[in-house]
Amino acid sequence: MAWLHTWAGVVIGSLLFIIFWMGSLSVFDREIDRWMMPDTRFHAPESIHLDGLADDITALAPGSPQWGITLPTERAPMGRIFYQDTSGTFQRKYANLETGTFIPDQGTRAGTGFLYPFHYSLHIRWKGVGYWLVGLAALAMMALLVTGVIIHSRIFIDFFTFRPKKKLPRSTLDLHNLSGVLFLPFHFMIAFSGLVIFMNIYFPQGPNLAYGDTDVPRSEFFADIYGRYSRDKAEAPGPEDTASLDVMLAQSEAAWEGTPASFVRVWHPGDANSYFEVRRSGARTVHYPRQVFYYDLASGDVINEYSDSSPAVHTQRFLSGMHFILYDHWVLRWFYFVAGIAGCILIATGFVYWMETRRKKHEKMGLKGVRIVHGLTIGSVTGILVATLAFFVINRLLPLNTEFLGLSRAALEIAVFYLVWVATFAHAFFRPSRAWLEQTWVIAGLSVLAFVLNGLTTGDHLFRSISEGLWAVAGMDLMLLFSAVVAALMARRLQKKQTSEPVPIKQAAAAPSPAPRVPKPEVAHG
Amino acid sequence: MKRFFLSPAFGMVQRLVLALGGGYVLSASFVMLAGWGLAQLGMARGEAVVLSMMVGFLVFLGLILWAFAERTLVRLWVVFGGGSLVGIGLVQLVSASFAATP
Repeated sequence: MAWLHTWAGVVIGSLLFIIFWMGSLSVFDREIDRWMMPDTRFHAPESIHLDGLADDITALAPGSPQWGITLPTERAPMGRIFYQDTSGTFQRKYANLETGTFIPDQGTRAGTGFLYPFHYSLHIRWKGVGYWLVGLAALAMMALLVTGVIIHSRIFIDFFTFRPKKKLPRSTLDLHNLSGVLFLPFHFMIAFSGLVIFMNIYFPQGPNLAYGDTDVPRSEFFADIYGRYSRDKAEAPGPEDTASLDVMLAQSEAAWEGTPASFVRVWHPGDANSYFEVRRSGARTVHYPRQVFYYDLASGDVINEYSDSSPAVHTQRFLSGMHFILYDHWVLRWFYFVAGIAGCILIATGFVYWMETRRKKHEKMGLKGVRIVHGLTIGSVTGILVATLAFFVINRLLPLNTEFLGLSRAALEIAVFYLVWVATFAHAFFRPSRAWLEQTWVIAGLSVLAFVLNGLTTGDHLFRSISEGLWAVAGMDLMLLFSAVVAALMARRLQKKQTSEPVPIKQAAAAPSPAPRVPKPEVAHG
Repeated sequence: MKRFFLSPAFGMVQRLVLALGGGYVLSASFVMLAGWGLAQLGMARGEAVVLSMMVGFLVFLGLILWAFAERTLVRLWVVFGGGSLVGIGLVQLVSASFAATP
């Protein structure tokens, strides 16, 4: 089984690292949003009044067949309004629901719009290939965790072994085993629940037999498990005075024992058949709820309700909720982040171990592949960290409403992300012996730069963000400083290593020099 | 040519294709048939399908692990290749029963 662990690890390593990195960031996606969207750095309103707002939105979007608001939370204090314009395209606007003012477009996709979708789709939209690659990686992660455990008959001894002063492969393997064993249950859970969230993508044919006697099995199935409800337009004007949205919202929240709603929507505004949808938020339960009330807007009566209370559906929602971590729990949120970063370390060290143990052999054989793998590894490990930090830095540099070469500000940020990422691959390929070190220094430098730029461009420097209780901004700044320190320490260690045992890849091929020793197969990773 | 077909690299390719391709066909057939079967046994059919889908991922994982633990390729071909055919056949058979009873 050892060879599967090694080879599958390499093929899937870079994919997994990228997914784990983006996933770890997604744990704090809304905090990253606050940092990247300075105009949304305020405290969520104590209470909101939908009735006054409804008229404003109806005026904003005349004739829109529907409009809705994602309600403010502590982590995302603005209301996110959507509606359809006259051409039918969906428009989104942020608003401060306390002051009733719209927030200017922040010109960024930030955490929830860019980093988070990267985590589950890799931004490859073509035929859903991105989802399938992520699914494959999740499956591989589970297979690697199981095979990794089988290799480790000495699992508990290794767990207490960490020899940082030993040669690189040994300490790398120790770190791999430590992070792997310590977070094994979490990593297995997160890979499995990731698949379960997208079960309808991975098993689209699932309901075909159980619902074989219906015309469209898939939509009947969805109606059963998601409770789809809709009512057609009456094509007649509704009453002047409709039921109060605030009352219906309060009624729903009372029915959910005080759990706030996360989303409200008005269907067919102005029509006699207009109705109001209220969805329960997952703030107070691990399980990611699908609980909805529909009210007739004219009378205020409940016309439909759905609750995902049946056992299997509830289990699926519970697993999804464990993955999404949308519930309010700061301790667990930090645990998820640490466990995610541990996953990054597990994957990166497995990757580095593979390279170091094979480099000598492959160089003797004169294989060119080793340099490509080397470049790919560096580009997908330190490279994506560099690109992410460049994304943060450029966000603080571009003025609002910037446009360049026909690209919007948000698109420019993303272009910078990809350009920098490609550059790190090229750098790793052309300077193989120095790339780890140099990119680690770049990570340290960019982290400090992003930290400084936030203070300079928004005025929310660390003292102010802490004194005003803007914890998202303060936390992000502190993480940037922390990553700068860690990267600088790593770089100094790499520097020492490189001066004590210079094994540049290019020369090594010509004149074999003492490469790091490979440990005996006491641990059969080879 | 003969050397290629007996090479470990080609064995690896077969293993991967069987594990991923065959494994997927087998687990997808499992999901469809189990969902239908449980519904026949009286489970609410939405529940039956969701449960089968979740278990389906673990079935797939088990199949992949076995594909790399099993030494003989022939046995893999029998289980993944033959099993896929049986799975597809059973799915067709059940679907045909719906067509017969409108």
